[in-house]
Amino acid sequence: MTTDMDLQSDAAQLLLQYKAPLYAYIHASVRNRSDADDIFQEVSVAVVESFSKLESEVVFFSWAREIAFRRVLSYYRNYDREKPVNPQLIAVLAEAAERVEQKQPVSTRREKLLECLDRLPEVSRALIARCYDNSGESLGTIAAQSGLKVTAFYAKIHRIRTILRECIAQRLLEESVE
Amino acid sequence: MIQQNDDRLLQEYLDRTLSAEEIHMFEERLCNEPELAERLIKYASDDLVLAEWGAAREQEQAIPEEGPVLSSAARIPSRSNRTVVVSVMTSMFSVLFMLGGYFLYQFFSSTPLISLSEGVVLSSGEPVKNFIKQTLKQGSAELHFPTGAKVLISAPASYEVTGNNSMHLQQGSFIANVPSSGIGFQVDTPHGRVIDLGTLFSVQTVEKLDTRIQVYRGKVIASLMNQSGGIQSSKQVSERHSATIDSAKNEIAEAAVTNSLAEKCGILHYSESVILQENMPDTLATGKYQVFEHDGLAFVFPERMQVTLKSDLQLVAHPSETTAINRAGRISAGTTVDCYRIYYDPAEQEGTFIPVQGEIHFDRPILGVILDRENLTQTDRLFHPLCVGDANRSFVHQGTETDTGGKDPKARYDEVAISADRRTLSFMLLSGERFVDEFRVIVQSPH
Repeated sequence: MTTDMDLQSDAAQLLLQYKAPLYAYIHASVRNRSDADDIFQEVSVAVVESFSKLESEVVFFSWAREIAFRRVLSYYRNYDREKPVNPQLIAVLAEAAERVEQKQPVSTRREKLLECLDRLPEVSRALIARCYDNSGESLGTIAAQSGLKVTAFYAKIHRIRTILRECIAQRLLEESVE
Repeated sequence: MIQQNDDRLLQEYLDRTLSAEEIHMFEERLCNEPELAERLIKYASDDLVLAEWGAAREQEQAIPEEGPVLSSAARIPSRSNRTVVVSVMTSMFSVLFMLGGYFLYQFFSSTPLISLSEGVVLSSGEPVKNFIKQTLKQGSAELHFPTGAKVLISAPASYEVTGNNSMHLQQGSFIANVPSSGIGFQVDTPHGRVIDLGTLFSVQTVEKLDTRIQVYRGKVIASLMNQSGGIQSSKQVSERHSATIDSAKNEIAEAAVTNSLAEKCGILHYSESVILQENMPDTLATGKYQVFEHDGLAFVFPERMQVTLKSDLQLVAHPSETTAINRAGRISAGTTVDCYRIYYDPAEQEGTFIPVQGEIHFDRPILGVILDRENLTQTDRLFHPLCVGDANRSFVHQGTETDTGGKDPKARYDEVAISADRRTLSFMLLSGERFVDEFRVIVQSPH
């Protein structure tokens, strides 16, 4: 017999499992990490509260993504009235998130990205870490400390990101061949 | 159709650095080009992984060597550095503005979702093995889960870690700070289960009695277990509410946050930005414990009650005054007093200063406050709970900056005031990721 407790536990487990693609969808839709955090929390609450309505765990991601879609729309309606969002765009991104998850789970890509970060030369790794380490330092400050002009620094970061994406693609390809 | 410049456009779209016209054109393409939309999802995912990795790497590099309590103070810059940081911040924001917010993302990023550690560790970095019963006989221990959840357990307690985001508390109490990355954090007790939905909450379990949950921020789901291992019932416990999972009555009783501790402390009421905590951890203001790092929330800890002063105590009786002579006060020897510690430690990223404003209403007169580091250290022997057995123990303090204004009161970083009837303490503390604000409040003990 499935108890409410089992259901909650299952919901929490599935949320953890699909956190990355759900979060990526929300982040792509609102493009603000702080707002994405809030929306993800709202989605998590809604998922746990209404998990008993889910007919099959096989469709969990589609179901949770639908909840996220509604929350993102609600976010734009409530907080960004001056910039009305195109609901079609949010729907398109939701479908894209589902396709991405079906083709190649985001968690796999995440794993490859971490591997690729390890393979970067230390100089590049330190540079990209500086950009993402929450230190709050501006591009100008980091550029100055690196002995580069801002435009050159921006270009360098773009190149590192490109290298990382190529590395991810290569590793995913190798894995599919194996 | 993917175009040559799309990589850059996708990144700049995520970074919010495109112009309104460029956004409009790009969103039209996103609606019509499924492959481009898929790439945006992948890039958004990459961005999050990089942010988490960067934050985790920074955190790992910031973990200090284990050493005496005093040495950890070195991680917290002296308060005089604050002025320098504020001016650096001003420059940074100017550059940010000029760059159109390319790095705005960083300023809004929060707790990392990735931890470089693979399992649960103590705040010292020592790993904690799963499914091994741990007994804490004295003091406190902070567990760091890989998901970002931080749990401060107070002795006496027995517990075990059951997974990367779950634990079992057999006996004792803890306070947990769970960021969004740790949503789903699960605590089992002999009476039920608590599933966190991103929050700050505490759990107290008396093995043969009940489990009490208090939610300060966010929500949790509390479930009561029956004898066959299923559940009797479940309830969502909301912010500023508490619940008791009572095995004897087979029920979950929910109530607004209990005031019993406040009553015991002689506190009539306090503002929403204030959290009253019964147990003060051994080492505050050293960066050792992170549970109490919270933006916009100040904690109040009762330190020592019913202390009879053996000699006169100099302190600040009128903190809103600007001159030293007008601020000064003295409590005569023989007076019996209660001492509370106010503590504020925001967790926002470096460079950002977050204020907290609060009020606490006591049912007895507030005799004064101890605001600066030197006087906090000097009065430890009187008021620090751990000095009861060893008056010479030393602790690290940070104090406040209520007197920084000097000639210009508006230049103060922190403000503390006591009402004319001396029953209400109000404060506005401004602090950042690498700073804490703390001070003592001395209140007359009940007769």
